[in-house]
Amino acid sequence: MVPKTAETSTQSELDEVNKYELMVILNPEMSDTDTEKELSEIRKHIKDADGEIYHEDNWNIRNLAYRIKKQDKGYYVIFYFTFDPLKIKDFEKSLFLNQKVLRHLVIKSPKGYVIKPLSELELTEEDKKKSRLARETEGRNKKFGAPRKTIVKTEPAKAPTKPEKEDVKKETKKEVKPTMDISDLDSKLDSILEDSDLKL
Amino acid sequence: MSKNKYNKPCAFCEEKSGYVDYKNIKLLNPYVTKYSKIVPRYYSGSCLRHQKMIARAVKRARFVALVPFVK
Repeated sequence: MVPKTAETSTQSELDEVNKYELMVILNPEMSDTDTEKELSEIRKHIKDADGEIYHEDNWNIRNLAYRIKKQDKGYYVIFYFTFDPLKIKDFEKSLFLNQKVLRHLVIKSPKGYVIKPLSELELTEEDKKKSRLARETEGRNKKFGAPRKTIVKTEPAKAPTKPEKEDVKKETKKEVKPTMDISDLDSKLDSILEDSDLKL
Repeated sequence: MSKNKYNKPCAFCEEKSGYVDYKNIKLLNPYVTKYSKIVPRYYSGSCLRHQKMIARAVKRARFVALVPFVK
């Protein structure tokens, strides 16, 4: 029983160990056909070395955080694959020599890694706003904790005063308006009455 | 046991995660300052084990231009 379990464990371990993750940033100025060519070349290279791509993610053209090889944007593709550990250096060499690859990163995939789509990984604009707010308020709360609370309290006090003024204004306007265009109102009323008569 | 001043446990320990993904910018965002420096442990409250994972993930993300080195 013991050797059997040992064998199975080693097999699974080997599978885990040989799992790799490759992120490639390609030149964004290439045409679609050219990028496909480059990608297919990479796929071919993996398959030739008895590797197997079990997942592939295409992030498309994204803004780079900083300039790489005079490019502000990059075409991101991620490969999840199994590979022979002894051959990985040659594979990386080919990527280094490829001028259309701005940058690449090969990593051993960790055990039990769950692949997530880009939408779950990327920051949304709401997140950006939140993080900005959090950073700003953190500093404020530390330095001026008390004044922030008073500001909150003053807001409701201000709110009721405003509507009152508006009401007064509206009332005065209403009083003024009817005197100004009584004739118009009369004509309108007449027309309405006529219509209602017709309908009734 | 936690080392931060709020006595809050490490966020990654609560999830029991054994790996911090460098591609997950959303996850790394709170562990990077305005100037995209790695937030020290005494601010973020993460444990040593996970702080090392975070640091590695941020450095990888920097290399592939997902996170800037300097802002």
